[in-house]
Amino acid sequence: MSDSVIEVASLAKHYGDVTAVADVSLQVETGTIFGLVGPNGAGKSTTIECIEGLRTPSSGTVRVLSQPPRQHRRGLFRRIGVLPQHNELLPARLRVGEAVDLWRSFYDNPLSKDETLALCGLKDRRKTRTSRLSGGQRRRLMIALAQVGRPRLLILDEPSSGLDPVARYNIWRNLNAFKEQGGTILVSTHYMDEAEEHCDQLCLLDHGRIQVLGNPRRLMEERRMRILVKVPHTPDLDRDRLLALDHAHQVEQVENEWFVFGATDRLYGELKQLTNREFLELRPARLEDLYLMTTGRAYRTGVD
Amino acid sequence: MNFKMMRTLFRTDLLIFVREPAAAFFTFAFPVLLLSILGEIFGRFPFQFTLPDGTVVDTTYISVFFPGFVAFIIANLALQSAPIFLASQRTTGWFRMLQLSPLRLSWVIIIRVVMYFAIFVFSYAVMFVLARQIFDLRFFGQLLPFGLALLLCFVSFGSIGFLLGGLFNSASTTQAVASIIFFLMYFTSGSAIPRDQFPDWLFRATELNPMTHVVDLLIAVWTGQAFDQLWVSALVVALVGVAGFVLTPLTFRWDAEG
Ligand SMILES: Nc1ncnc2c1ncn2[C@@H]1O[C@H](COP(=O)(O)OP(=O)(O)OP(=O)(O)O)[C@@H](O)[C@H]1O
Ligand SMILES: [Mg+2]
Repeated sequence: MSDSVIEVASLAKHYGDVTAVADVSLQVETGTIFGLVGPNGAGKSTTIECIEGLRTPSSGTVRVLSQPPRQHRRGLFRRIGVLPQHNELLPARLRVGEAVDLWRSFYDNPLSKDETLALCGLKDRRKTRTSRLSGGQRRRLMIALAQVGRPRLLILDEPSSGLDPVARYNIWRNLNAFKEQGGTILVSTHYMDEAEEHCDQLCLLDHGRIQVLGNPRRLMEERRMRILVKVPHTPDLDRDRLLALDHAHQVEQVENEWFVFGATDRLYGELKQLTNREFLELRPARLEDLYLMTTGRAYRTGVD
Repeated sequence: MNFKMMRTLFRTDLLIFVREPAAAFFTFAFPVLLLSILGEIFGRFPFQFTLPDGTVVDTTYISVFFPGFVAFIIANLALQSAPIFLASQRTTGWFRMLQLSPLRLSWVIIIRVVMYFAIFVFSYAVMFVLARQIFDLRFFGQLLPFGLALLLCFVSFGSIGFLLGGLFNSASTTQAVASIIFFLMYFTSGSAIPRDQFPDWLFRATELNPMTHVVDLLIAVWTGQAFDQLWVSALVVALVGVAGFVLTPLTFRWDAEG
């Protein structure tokens, strides 16, 4: 038995002419949080739905808990908890408590109703219709439903989208606690910052292809990207001159600035000297900078 | 067998059903209204018919009109409520959500059928008591054949309802098509307007309506007619059911996206 809870090999999925996922291979190890990160349309949900067995891959193989998911749907969903991306799936007229009751009835040893309601912080909302919950409350309810059956593996498609910072914090605290108890999580997100902070492994997807795969800290270290200094364009500066500096390890052009990455603060002094400027913008390098480096595109428009 | 799951699923289905104002109105209030109004208009007319043994029975019109109401309840549940409910739950993604649980999906169908049967029995009982109290309804048949005929009609039309529920992706298309089919069938079946009032050509034409045969079959067993009086209707209803059972698995989908 390998330690991988999820194994995906050369997964591809086409919808007619559209290639949603191309040649994705990844492994999710027991007891880790694995993040799928990418912009809208990158193929995160398609990958996740192929892993869950909801979609048939065009090619490639998927194994979840050592089994092909499509043939073992019920056995598998007894042991994994799943959060779909869509937030409006519960019948509008169903109440919170009733949804929890129903989900609890699917499992042999479910969390108690109180535990479940406590997980999503909706103890005093059990009589509220799901349609009357705010988007974030509904999201929390759906995440709690995914956990009702005491799964070993959670597959969550954008658990934190649409949540306020406090709710996001609570969700991640909940997920980290789940991991501490030996659980494994595959999670997708738009948010680079939370992926960077919480994921042990992450996979940057773009146009259905893996751009970067690995441990976020190590990925940045390998490229020696710790700090970023932004240098305005001037005619005398070019990539070669910047890279020739002792402490500059990566350079990328963004609109009318150079983004220069290095491992130590000494880069800042070098650049000030080179450009003859009193001040330059300096900040820690982030994962979205890595995305920029690999795709050549800013992750958000107006990167700061 | 997980009885807790079945019980909870049944309760959930029923709660969602009764909280839907349109479905609840057409299932519970509308038949009562219809029975009261039409019963007031036709129900007390004297009516005469002959039993298989030649006895002539003097009664009132309600006793041949009532089985038509029962047909209305069946058709409303099967052709309106069931397909619309299925299509809307498919498009809102509720079935997709259930697919993400260890629930065996066939239970969703089984429990749904059981729920409709329970609603049908309840509706039937209310209508029966009402018609008996207000209009002096009388039953001339035998319980077993009547029960079997009810079951046949319920199962047959129910299968058509599940067929309709799977045909279209959009809930609004399903609603439109189901309503057209339901009202066409209902108004020409003899359930709303007795068919002996129809001109001859319409009387003949409406024999093509499956619901006509539901009405005819139920009236025949209610008034204790012999098998040779009702086998054609029973056969038509059964064939409709067979068609439903054969075609439903081909069209049924859990997921709007496929
Ligand atoms: N059912 C479908 N039919 C056709 N194309 C689809 C379908 N589902 C997804 N796609 C396409 O596949 C690509 C990947 O979509 P996917 O939903 O996997 O992206 P995503 O990374 O989850 O995006 P988001 O962050 O917006 O959720 C997109 O270009 C999308 O338009
Ligand atoms: Mg998605």
